Amino acid sequence: RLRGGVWNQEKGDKVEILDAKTREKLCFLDKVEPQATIAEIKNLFTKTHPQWYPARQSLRLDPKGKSLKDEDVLQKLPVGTTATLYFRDLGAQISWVTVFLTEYAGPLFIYLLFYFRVPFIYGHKYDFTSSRHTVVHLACICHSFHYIKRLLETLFVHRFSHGTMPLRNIFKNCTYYWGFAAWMAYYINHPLYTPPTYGAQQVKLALAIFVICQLGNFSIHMALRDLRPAGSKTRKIPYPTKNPFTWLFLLVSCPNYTYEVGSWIGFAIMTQCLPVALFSLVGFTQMTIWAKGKHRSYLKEFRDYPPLRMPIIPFLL
Amino acid sequence: WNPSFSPVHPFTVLPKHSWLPQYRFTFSTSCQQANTQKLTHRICVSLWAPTHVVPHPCISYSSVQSEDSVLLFVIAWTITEIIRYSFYTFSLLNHLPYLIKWARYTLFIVLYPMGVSGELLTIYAALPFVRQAGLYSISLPNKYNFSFDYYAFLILIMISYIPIFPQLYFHMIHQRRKILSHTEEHKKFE
Repeated sequence: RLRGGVWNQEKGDKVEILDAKTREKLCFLDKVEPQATIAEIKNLFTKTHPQWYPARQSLRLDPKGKSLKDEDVLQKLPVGTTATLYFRDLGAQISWVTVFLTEYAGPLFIYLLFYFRVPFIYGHKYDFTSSRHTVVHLACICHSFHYIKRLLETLFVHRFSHGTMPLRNIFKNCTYYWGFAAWMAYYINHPLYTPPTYGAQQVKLALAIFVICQLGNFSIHMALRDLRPAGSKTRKIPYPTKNPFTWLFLLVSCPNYTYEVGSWIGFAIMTQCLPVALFSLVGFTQMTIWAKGKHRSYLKEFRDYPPLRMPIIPFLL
Repeated sequence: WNPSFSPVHPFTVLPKHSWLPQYRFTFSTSCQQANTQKLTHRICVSLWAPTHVVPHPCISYSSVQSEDSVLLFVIAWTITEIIRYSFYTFSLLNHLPYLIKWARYTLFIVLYPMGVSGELLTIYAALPFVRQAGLYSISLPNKYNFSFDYYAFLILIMISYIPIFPQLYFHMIHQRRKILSHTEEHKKFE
C-alpha cells in the first residue's frame, strides 16, 4: 500500500513464535491480521501444536518478560514487521470453576460423614448415633450452610478474571480443604466432645458473629459482581453501597476476607475446638497475603485510591 | 555417657542462604537438611534423655539399645557438620583446600546412611517408652476438643524418611557429580 509516497508494509503481518528457554523456532505465522488479538494468535498456534491449547500458552515479547494479555492487539505492541513472540508452557490447566466446586463439595460431604458417625471413624458402639449436645447440631448446620453458600456463589455469583489455573493446584487445594474439614469434624462430632465452657451464652454470641459475617461476606461478593459486567474482565475501585455490610469498604480493600475470617472465628468460639482455631489462623494468614497483593494492585492501578483503606483488618493490617 | 552436643550442633539451625555466592544451594534442600537434623536432634535427645534419667527395669535394655543408635547418629552428624562448616569457613576466606571439598562431597555417601539409620533406630527403640508414658500426648475429653498422639506422630515421621531421605541423598550425589567434575576440568586447564 502507498502511504505518503513511500511503500509501507503493514505492521505485524508475520508472527514467529520461539521457545522462551531454548529459542527454538516453534511456529511461523504468515499473513496475520494487524488487528489480531493475542487470543487469536494463540488459537493459530494451537493448530500447529495441538497439545498446547490456548489456556496453557504464555506468550511474551521478552523471554523473561510478563505474559501478554489475550485482549492485547498485535498492532499496538512494540514489534517490527515480523513480530517475535516467546512461548512458555504453563503446564496442564484446569478451570477455576472446576477447582472451586471440587474443593468446596469435599468439606460439605466429609463433615456429614463425621456428623452421622459413619462406621470405622469412632468406636462401633457409636455408629450412626447422634450427639446429645445442641451445639454439635448447630455446628453442622453452620458448616454445611457455609459450603453450600460457597458452591452457589461459584456457580452464580463470582466473575472470574482467569479461566484456568495449573492442574497441580487442585491437589494442593483439595488436600488443604478436605484435610482440615475432616480434622475439625472428627473432634466436633466425637462422642467425647466437650461443649463450650460458657454454655448457651457463648454459643449464641458466636452464632451471631458467624451469621453476621456470612451475610457480610455474601454482600461483598454481590457488590463485587455488580462492579463487573458479565463476560468482561474490567476492574474498578469498589465502593460502599446502600447495603450496610458493604460499608466496610470504607476501611478495608478486601472486606470479603475480613468477613470470612470473622465467620471462622465465630465458628471456633462456638465449637471451642482448637483445630477450628488453627484452621482459622492458617486461612487468615493466606487471606492476608492475598489481600495485601490485591491492595497493592489497586494502589498501582488507580491513582485516586482511598488512602484510609487497609488490606484486610481496619487500621491494622 | 553424655555426648557434648553444644559445640557443633547449634550451627545446624543456621539457615544456609545464597550469601555463599559461588555455591548455589537449593534452599529447600538445605532447609530440609537443617530442619531434619534439628528436629531429629530434639526428638532423639528428648527420647534418649528420659530413658537414661528414669532407670525403669523393663526398658533398661532398650536404653542401652538407644545409646548405641544415638552414638551412631551423633558420630555421623558430628563428622558431617565439622566438615561442612569448615567447607563454608574456607569458602568465605576464598581458600578452599580441595581435600575439604572432596571430603564434603564424598564422605556423605557413608555418613548420611549412618546418621539416618541411627536416628531411625533411636526413634524405634524409644517407641515402647512413649506408648507407656503417654509422652507429649493429649487425649480426649478436654476443654479444647483436641488430641495428639506422639506415638503415632513418631511413626509418621519414620515413614516420612522414605520419600525424604532419597531426595536429599540423590541431591548430594548430583551435586557431587557437578562440583567435583567441575574442579577436575579446572585442574586440566592449569
